[in-house]
Amino acid sequence: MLKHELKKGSAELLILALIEDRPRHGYEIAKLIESRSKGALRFHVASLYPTLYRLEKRGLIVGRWLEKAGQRRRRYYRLTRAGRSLLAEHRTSWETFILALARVAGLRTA
Amino acid sequence: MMDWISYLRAQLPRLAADPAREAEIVEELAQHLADIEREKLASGAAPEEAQAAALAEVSNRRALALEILRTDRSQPALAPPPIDPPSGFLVGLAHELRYSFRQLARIPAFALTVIVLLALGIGINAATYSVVRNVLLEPLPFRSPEHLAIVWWADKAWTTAFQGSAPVSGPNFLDLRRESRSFEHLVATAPRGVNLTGHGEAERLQGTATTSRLFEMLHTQPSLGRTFRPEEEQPGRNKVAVISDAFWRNRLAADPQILGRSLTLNGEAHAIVGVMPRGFQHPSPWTVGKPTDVWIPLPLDVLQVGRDANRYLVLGRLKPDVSYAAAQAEMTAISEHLERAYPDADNPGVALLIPLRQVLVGRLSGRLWMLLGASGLVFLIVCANVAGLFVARAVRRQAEMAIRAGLGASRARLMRQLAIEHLPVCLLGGTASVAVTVAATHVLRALMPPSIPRIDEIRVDGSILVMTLLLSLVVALIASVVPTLTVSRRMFSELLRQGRGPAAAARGTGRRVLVVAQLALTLMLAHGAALMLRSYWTLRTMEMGFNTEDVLTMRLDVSGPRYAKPEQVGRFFDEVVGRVKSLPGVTQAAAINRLPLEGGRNDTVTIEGRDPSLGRGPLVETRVITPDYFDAMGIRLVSGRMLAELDGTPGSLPAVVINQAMARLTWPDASPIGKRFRYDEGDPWLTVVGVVADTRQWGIERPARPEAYMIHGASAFQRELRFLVVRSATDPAGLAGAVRREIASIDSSQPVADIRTMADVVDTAIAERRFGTMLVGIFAITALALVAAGIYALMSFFVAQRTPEIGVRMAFGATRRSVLRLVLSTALTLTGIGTATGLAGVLATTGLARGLVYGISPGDPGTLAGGTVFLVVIALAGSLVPAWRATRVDPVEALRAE
Repeated sequence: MLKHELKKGSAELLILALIEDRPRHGYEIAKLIESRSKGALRFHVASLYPTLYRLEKRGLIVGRWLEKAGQRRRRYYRLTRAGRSLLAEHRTSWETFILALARVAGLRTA
Repeated sequence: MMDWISYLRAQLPRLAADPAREAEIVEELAQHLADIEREKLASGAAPEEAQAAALAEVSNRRALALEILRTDRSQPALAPPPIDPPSGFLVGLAHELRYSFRQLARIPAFALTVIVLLALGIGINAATYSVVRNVLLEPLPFRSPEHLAIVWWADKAWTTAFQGSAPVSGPNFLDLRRESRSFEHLVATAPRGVNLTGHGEAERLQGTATTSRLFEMLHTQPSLGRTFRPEEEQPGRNKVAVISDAFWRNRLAADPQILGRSLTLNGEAHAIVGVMPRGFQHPSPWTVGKPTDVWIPLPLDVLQVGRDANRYLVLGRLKPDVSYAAAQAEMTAISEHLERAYPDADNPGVALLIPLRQVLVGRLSGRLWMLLGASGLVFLIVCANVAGLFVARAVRRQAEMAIRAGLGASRARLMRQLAIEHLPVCLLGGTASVAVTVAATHVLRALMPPSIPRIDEIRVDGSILVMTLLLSLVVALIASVVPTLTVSRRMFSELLRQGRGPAAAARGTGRRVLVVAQLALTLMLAHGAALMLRSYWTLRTMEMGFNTEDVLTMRLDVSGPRYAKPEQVGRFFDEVVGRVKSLPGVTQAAAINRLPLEGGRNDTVTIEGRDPSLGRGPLVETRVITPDYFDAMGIRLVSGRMLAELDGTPGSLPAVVINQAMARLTWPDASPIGKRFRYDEGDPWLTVVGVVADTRQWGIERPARPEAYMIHGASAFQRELRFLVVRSATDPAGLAGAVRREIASIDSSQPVADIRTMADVVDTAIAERRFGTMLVGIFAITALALVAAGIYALMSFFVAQRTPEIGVRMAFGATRRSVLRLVLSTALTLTGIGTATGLAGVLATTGLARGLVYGISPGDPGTLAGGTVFLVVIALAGSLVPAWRATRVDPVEALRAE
């Protein structure tokens, strides 16, 4: 399992990235993280929702209750403009960092 | 399926302050758990297994609740004032102002820097403006001053020193006064050196001879006694005097019984009839810096002589309902009538009416406005600097800005908030600037050369203070608009990195623009200062034509019954010169009627052999000397011979020596030696026997005018001998005492005044230019310091912002040198843009500067290049420390910080 610190630092990036294309609710986000990382990353309720609420409080994402036909209402989260901008920033920073790491520590990347 | 909502409600501690919010959270979490359970069931797990999987998600319920509650409660670092003010505009305003003051108190260093900058920037400007306003713009301190005018006699054929005008002759004045209907009063004045004796040591006073109505014209009542009566213009009735307040207090001990007491002036008793109020001086371009001590009547018999001798300054007050145009028309008509009536007067001209204020201060207007412009540039640079500081601070507060924006504040709203926040510190700066203004005005008054008129009128009053207040508001406005232009755009795309340093993403465009603006303005200012310095230096080191090091001068206005005849004056000076020559340390001594650089005494002459229909000959400065003058003054002989003792004796050939300017003008193609000219018809022809080097007469900047020297014995001019010139082998100033004693031993009733070396004379001539150069120099140095500080701050910010990038580069193998290059190249780019803009500004304003520089073109490429290089050096100096810091960046630290 990945170290706790690494996960924490990247939580925001993951969440923001996943709702970039379309709004999602919390469970959807958690499932996607797990599936796309092939099980390497998993977010429990205890870490996912506080992060979501923090992001919302900072104005990076906004949550709305949506009722779809035949279902109970669910809380969907989407990116704000600020969130979109920050996502771009995060991406750049992480890419630079990873590249540097790769060079320095001699990592193989996918 | 389990009822997760009930379970969570029962199991979780409090999640949020608001119950509705808490219910939402519970609902959301419950759905997540239900989804997990459902999914497990769908993949074939048993119900217990599915439930357990979901429960595992919320195993540490306390920690979960704590996290959620903390998020719910989280606040930004400082509680900003509410976006929507509680009630009304003013209450919100007060609220925000209180907040601003609280903010300010936290950052005393920043506040202090801004206050000092503003105090200096506004204070210097307000002081300069008070000078310009009081000297140039304010009306003269008399009733209805716009009706006060000077009457010049404009010579029709030839230009003279005062731009084609000359003072008026006595008979012409009398006719103008008698025939004109446009004036309430017309007054003739002339400065008179007045020797006071019988009151302790003989003393020379500044006197003015005037016709009787001077004081009525100025609507000024004496503080004691009365002023002149018309009958006191009659010869024999004119032995009265009106004295100034300063003279009364300083020399007469403010004697309350002063009226009726007698003063011995020029050997004659004058009764004091009045004392003028404190500070009163009649306004005249001839008495600037030389306030009058005593006014005496100008008697009619003196005025009636010499229709062609233009020697009186005529002042007039127009009647209230008469326009300048109408009065001028009348003056012109009277002048033509005079020309027809007196065809032999040989003084054709027209009376010109010029407003008095224009004559007094007109010559200074270009220079004073330029000075104000220069101080304005400093103000703009200070503004830009302060705005930069505000931007830097705003960048650090992006967190708060972003929250406000996220909570719905518009950009205008934020601008308003910033403006209000900046207001207290700007107002404090404005208040501090009042002290600077008062101090600077004092300093300016003290340093201004006395040749500048109206210095006593310079003061700081209410309108100046209003101006400082307005300026501080302007700065607040400018400094608020700029940061919001950059910050607000960013704040929607920017993020608060809680706890991180200055926002890494802020490009600092606004600050770059400010620094570029400062660079451009500084270049303009520095170039102006360099031009002035070069002009000053050219004048300072210019070949004067005379010896500046070893020559002492003194003024001897000889007067009294023993010197009624011109030759008595001449003999007196001969004796003085002879005695002084034998003093130890004296190499040579002589006398002359006017010193170089201090104005002239000119007459029109007729050249022999010139076609009389061409009109009268050139206007020639007339100098009367003792034989050794050229030697004493160190003036070089160019051709021919010097004048000798013999040339002064009656019966000898009337000889004259001219200067190069006259030779060039009058006989450009031949040697002037042997040529002749004369003053008036009936005067003997004067033969040119020598040519000497030029010396300037009308100040240091106007080129030398034609000049003729003659030995005093030969002419009636010898009554005008006035200045003793002494050449010393060592220190000229040290001879003063010995020379005075010699003079006193010959005649102790002749006071000695104006003891100066020729170096002092040059100094006085150049004083105004030196003053202006010094001021602009101070402005330029201030600007350079500010711009260096501005670049330093910007580069520090740049390095701090790019530290991670620098770390990455160094991790990739970049050397310290290449990092240095990175920083310096950024600084150089900014400097390049700023310099280019500044050059454009300089070239655009060369026309303005043309009249203000001497001996150099305003667009002089050498000076421009020098200024540019200097600015680049300063900019690089400002970047050095940040650049050095950049090379010290530890790549590991830099990356970790990111």
